[in-house]
Amino acid sequence: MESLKLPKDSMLGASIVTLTGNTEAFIENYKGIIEYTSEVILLQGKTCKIEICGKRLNIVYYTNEDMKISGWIERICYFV
Amino acid sequence: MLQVIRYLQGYLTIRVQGFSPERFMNLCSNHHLFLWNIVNYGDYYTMNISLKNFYKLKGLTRKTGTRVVITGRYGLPFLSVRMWRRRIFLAGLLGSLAFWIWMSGFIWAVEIDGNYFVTTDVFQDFLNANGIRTGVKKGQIDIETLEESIREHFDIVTWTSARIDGTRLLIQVKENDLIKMDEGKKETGINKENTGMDLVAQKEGVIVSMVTRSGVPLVKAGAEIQKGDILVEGGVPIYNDDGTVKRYDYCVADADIMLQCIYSLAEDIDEKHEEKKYTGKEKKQPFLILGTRKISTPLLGRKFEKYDVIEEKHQLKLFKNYYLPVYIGSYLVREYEVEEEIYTKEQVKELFEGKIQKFIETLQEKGVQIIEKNVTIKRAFGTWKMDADFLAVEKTGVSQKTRLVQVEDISLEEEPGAEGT
Repeated sequence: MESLKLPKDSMLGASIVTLTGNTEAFIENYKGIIEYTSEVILLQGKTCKIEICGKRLNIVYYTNEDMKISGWIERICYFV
Repeated sequence: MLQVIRYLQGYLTIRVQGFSPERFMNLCSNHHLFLWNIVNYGDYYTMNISLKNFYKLKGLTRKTGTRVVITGRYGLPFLSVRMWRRRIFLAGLLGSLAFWIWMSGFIWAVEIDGNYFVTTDVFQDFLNANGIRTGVKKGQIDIETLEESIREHFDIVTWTSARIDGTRLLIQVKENDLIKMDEGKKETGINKENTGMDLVAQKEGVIVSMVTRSGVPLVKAGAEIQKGDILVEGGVPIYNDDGTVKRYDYCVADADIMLQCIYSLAEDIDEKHEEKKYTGKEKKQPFLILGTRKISTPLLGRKFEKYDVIEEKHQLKLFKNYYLPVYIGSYLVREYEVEEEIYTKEQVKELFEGKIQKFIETLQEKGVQIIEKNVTIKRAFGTWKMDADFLAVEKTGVSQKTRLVQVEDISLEEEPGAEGT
């Protein structure tokens, strides 16, 4: 895989989480939302679940491919 | 950019409530229905969705068992709906717009510039006769023919330019300053054909200098002349060998004759005179002129016994040159009292000096040079009398038909008789 230089996310089905400080998160490669409250957003990735905890969490936009979350992010957890 | 597209397409804010709003959101994203601004409020969520996508939600809500309520409508498709609610306002807006466009098709002010000999009143009458007045349609005015007709109607006008500036018709003219001289020349030209023209004195005086261009001078510099004296004769005599006049070659006498003469001016002023004294009491009466109708507020308070009125009005215009047939203005009514006063010597002197100055100016306009002036001011029986004599030099001589009678040519008449014998 390394030698072929293929993108890891598409091959492994890994989610990409891009953080800007602790106020913005940009997430790709996921299946859907399991839970959404203003404190917790739980997402179903392809291989694991991603939990984003914080305060005043908002979903700026939500599509099939990517989503953007704004708010005060305190913790990101992965559940395999 | 994205927001502009969203606005044009129209979008809704919806409130989603029910068993599993998360599932609803997942289904939306799977069906490629774009959602944004998703906010959780505990037991319900609000989010934005485009108007087009909203119609596709029906199946999804049934499947997930959620309730969707529209809480806000935004964008262009809803603007028309909102406008329909305010249709009277909209109609008024469009109506006024149409009204302004319609009104801008008329002339609301006619301005004439550059006229001096032909007064503005005369011009207005001429324009009225030609159907050009305020309120006439712009399309009815043919600039070219208007310019041409002005030039044709007024000989004095040598150049015209008419243009429409907004709702104002601007007419600029140039007049011929030399018209009077031309007229004079024409006169001499006509008489040239008939007989000779003499130059006759208009005034009595002493000739200072004389330059004759055509004709036979009868007087010399230094000569004293009376009014009506012939100065230059308009016929050049051709003599026979025996010294008698054979015939006269008629011409138009032309000469520069400078005459020293006396102008006198007598004026008198009553010592007593009435003077207006404003009491300082003023009243303002605003008015409004709409087309030809005048609306004014009534004058309040005590009526003045003696007063004068100053009118001031402005024509309303929109922007720089959209003139409207509406004037606003006011009358200023000023009260005055008449008081009898007696002139002092200084005042009288000043008044007389003003009169003399005016008189000199009118003389100078005519081309008269003042060499000397002699003024006496006297007071007698309550009046001031002034006598002023001016020693002046001016050009003299007016054309007049010559009194010379053509000598009958005897020799020519005799010749046919001689042949017969």
